[in-house]
Amino acid sequence: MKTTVLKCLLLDADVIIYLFKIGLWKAFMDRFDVFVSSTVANEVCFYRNSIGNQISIDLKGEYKSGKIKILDIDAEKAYNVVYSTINRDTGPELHMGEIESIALMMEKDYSNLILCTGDGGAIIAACLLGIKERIISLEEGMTRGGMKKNIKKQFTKRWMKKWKKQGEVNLIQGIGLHKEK
Amino acid sequence: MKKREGIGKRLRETRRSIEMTLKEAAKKAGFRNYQTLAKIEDGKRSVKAMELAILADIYARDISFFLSPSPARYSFSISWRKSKETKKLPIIEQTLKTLLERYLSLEEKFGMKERRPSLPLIVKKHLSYESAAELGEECAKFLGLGKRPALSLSYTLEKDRNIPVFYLKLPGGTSAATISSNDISAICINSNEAPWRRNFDIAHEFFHIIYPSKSDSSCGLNDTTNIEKWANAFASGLLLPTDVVQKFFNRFRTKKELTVLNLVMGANDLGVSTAALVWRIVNLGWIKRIDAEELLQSDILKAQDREIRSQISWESPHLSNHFVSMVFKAVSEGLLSRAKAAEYLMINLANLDTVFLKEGFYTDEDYSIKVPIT
Repeated sequence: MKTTVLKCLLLDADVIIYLFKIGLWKAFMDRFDVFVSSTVANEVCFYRNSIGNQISIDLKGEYKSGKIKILDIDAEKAYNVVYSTINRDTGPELHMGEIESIALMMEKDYSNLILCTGDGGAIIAACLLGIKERIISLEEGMTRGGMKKNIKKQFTKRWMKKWKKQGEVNLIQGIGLHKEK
Repeated sequence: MKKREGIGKRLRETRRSIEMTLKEAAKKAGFRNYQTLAKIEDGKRSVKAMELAILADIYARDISFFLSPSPARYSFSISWRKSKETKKLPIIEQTLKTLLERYLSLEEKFGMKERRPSLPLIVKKHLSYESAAELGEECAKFLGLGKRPALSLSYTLEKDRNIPVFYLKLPGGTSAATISSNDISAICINSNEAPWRRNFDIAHEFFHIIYPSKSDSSCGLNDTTNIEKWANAFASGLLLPTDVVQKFFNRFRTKKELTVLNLVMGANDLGVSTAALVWRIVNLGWIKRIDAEELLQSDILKAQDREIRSQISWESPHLSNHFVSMVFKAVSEGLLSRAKAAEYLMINLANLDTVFLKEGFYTDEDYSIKVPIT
């Protein structure tokens, strides 16, 4: 049964790789409507298991079978959404996958999307863009989906809190923003 | 619409600059037909985020180059050390330029640019083989390279002198390059080469950085021009300073002879080729040239050299030790996302932790703890 409190999750590349690594990918798909940006879907193609072997990930296959939804957006539009506010030289520099994910969240049609990430740069960017309430840690997602497992520090609520705090400070002090903003 | 045309134009210019055809690029990028890419280049179709990420990767450029066009901040010149038969290397040149751009961008983020140390410059225009070797020795002292200069040179240039040493897989017949911008130089080494060869190449290229040559043209591997001879002599003096070689040599002086095994092990210990050590000893006048030639031709030396060297790992650093540590620092300060860091390091995101770990950085640690300085 899919959770009604938190339904639509947009996943960052690191989160997807980690979910495969800890064997919770399928459980996650059962509990949430999983969305992935097209760039992230293209980028995530394997993970390394505990002994370092490369195991392939087929997100396009998951998409074809209707288990996940892949969303895309124009490059220029996505870039402007993020970098018309954030100064690339002084603020966080993001990968196109994260830029696309954040830009999608700011589209009217996807105002229900919540981004699940553990990336410091992406969290700071979300704070600078005023959407910090719409990003959660993997641990938070797992809790809301009724899952429990010890996870890497990068995906914990505590880690998210730390970076959100940093993002708030940056926003107040104007660090990483264009001067005129 | 105008901006879309601008992106298309940049994509076309970049593709052409690396000598890639429209069909090749379209195939690599996974477009069903090349006409789609042609439309993007003509500004008749917008480029999707994923498509641009793929194209930027193929063209060895950052996405911002296409989306945030601003006048080029840096102009680079590259001098290759390769055989004349080796073709032009447009994509590798672009990769190298992008790497140095990223390095400079991180420097700016950390405010390191202002703290960049100055370099010793060779003021003499005309050198002899001997004076070039002496300069190499002086440089080894100046840089504080210690008892095994070949093993500390790369680290010292990167950490103390801010000269990045990039290791890339270069095609056969290409050993190294120097790349220079207005105010920074970097060295590129062929990671396919043997470690001792790479050490020598770094020293050789370092000469080209500090020698005031106006020419930025490339030179051949077996080039016999004066500058190339001086660069080799300089490298020899830098990696094998007299006191270092003397110390090695004195161990055997009482016996009045050097065995092949002593030489092979000594060279291995010093991080240079056996031939380099032998010729250095010849040039210092401690053994005769004719004996050296005979020795280097001997099958015993070749066999022992092969045997001992086969035990050594040929693994080179991933791109550059210092660059990896800068990228890690940027990630831990929230200045780069992890996926962007993987792009900076030209690896898949799934391999990022492994690359960091090789440099001793454990990604699950919290590096933000601060201690006040008293």
